[in-house]
Amino acid sequence: MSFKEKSILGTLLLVLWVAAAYFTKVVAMLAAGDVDFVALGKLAVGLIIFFILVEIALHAVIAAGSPKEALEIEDERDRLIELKGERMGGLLLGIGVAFTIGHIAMHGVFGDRTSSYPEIARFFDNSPFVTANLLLFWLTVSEVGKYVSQLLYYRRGV
Amino acid sequence: MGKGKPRITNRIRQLRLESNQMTQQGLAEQVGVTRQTVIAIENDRYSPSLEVAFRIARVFGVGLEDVFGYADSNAE
Repeated sequence: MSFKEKSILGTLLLVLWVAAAYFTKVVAMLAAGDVDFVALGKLAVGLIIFFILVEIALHAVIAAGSPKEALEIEDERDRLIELKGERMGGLLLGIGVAFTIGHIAMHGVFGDRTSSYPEIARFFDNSPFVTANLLLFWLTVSEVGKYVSQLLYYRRGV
Repeated sequence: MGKGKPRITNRIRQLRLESNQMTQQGLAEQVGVTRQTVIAIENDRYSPSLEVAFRIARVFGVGLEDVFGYADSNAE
């Protein structure tokens, strides 16, 4: 596995770990009906700092393992794979935005009907908390999609 | 329209061996790409740009068609 692949795989695993930690908390808050933007904001800031520090350490370790490759400049194949990955990420983000718009619109149509089931309604309401986290979720999905597609292009060819 | 995907083939490995056992790293440095890209081209996992293709041919001192071929899977 090349330096680039190790680097992408490391970042992918880190994104998945951070996202899992964050969204577990979001779902727990929604399930408990105890939405706390401030507490979630603190968690998000902590996770971002954690992400940056681990990312730096991770890349330092990977670079130490293959110092020659780490110093190589990106070439046309790397740039092509990066662009193709960005395209996949953009596509997934577009789907996510469309889904979120649908979510908002559906609430306008069916919003009141879920009010008899508050446990479910919390996940489908139009609150800034749900909408913001839904967009953040799709942003994460698009990042994961980008990294996975880049890994596949490196492995299978482009 | 054919359904099969045309394939760009190459003789880079053979040309390297004929050029004093040139290494993939050596070729990569002369062409200005990474060693991983040379490996990908040799294994038909990446078709280089025309510019890189010309640079590879120039390193071996041969013409483009002596390095690369075009295999149409529909051609009988």
